[in-house]
Amino acid sequence: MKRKLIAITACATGIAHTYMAEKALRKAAKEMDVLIKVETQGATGIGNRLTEKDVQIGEAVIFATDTKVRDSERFDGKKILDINVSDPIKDAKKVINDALALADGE
Amino acid sequence: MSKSFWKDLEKHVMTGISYMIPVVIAGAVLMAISRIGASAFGISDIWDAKWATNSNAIIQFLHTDDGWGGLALGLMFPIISGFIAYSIADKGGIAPGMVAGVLVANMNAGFLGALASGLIAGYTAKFMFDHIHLPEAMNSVVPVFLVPVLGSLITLILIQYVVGGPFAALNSGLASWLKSMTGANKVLLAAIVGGMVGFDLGGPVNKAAVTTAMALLTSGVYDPNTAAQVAIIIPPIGLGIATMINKKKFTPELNEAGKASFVMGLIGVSEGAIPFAIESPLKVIPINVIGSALGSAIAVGLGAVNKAPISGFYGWFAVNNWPVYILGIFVGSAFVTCATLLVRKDAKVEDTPETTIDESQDVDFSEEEWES
Repeated sequence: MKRKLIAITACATGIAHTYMAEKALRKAAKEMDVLIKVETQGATGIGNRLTEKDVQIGEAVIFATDTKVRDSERFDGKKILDINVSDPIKDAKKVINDALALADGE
Repeated sequence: MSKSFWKDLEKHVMTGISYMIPVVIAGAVLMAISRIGASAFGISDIWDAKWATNSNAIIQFLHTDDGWGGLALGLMFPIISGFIAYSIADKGGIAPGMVAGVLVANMNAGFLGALASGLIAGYTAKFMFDHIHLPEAMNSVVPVFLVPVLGSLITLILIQYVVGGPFAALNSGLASWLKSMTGANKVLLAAIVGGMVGFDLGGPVNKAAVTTAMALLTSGVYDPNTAAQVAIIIPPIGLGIATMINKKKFTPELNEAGKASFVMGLIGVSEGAIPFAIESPLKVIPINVIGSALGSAIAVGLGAVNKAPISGFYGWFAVNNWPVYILGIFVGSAFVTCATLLVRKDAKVEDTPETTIDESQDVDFSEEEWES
């Protein structure tokens, strides 16, 4: 069974970083054989909204955000990796490794 | 203070800014429409009340539209204050934050005043949520009554009697100091603002410079805004043109990004240049900073005045002395283009196939695999 993560990306303007971080995470996850669902909280609204079931399945949550995460109470009790939106754009594999390590309780 | 406190603080301020930006754009563009339209009639003071009764209906409308732009810009401080507080204390922060933000606007306490009122309102509301514990039956009293009323009251008292006065003085002092700048100082100021804007392309340093410059517009100080608006578009345009001149120096991905970057530059979005800054920051960032600073210094130094927070091409011709404004953009962009082409070596041809993701899909696997 593959490892599973969920993530939220958001930046101040909501048109560029948000989606670049999303693509970086998905690409790195694919290369690392990890399944990831990424919700984008951009200027046009919430994209690919994570369902209650998604939140249950995800082993850890990545908040790659420069702004407040909308509806963050959905993730109460989950393990959260809280980083800047630019971090996955710089090194998405490290972010995913960090999130997996967090899920393993290291 | 712990590191995470500062990171949280940055997040709260960025949240406030992200909600404020659309309001500023709405107000600025409405105002720009009215001023560009008015200039066609040879009018340079369309906001003056005398135009409200002009016999020409179009001029009357342009005057009214200018007022609408002003209404929208007037929401700037309440919105940023309210949403900083929202970021800290959730929904409960909005009421105290916005109410105090209106007071900040009325007291002319400026951008710093609005930051202060948002933070005070947010932390006050959060403190009340965290520390007031009533019996179960009365629990709803906190969010529906205590936080809106007491939260607003405490924030208003602090703004009115403690921080509002000094910030208003600071704001008007800063404004008159900046207004009195001439010659070399003015050019230096423009270069600094331009350099900050070019530094991190929509990141915190850029946003600090741009929002301060925008806020100063409301005090009638135009030079920092002129500098910022020139600088915003220089990196994306310059880098975009560089990819068009010599494709060999860039990977296929960057060539693709270059086209997008050029278009984003034209409409005034500096974020288009980010892929380049990520790929080779040590080369790209200094070039962007110098190019932006150069362009800003030229535009402001030669007397261009942009009174609207608009950097896209549709705003260029509304600028006073627009030929030198465009000259600044041209020289700055040309510097970025040439310097980039000079320092870059030809891109290596990738042998290994790149992993690709299907961007038309939200996920790269089936729902069954996810749920297994």
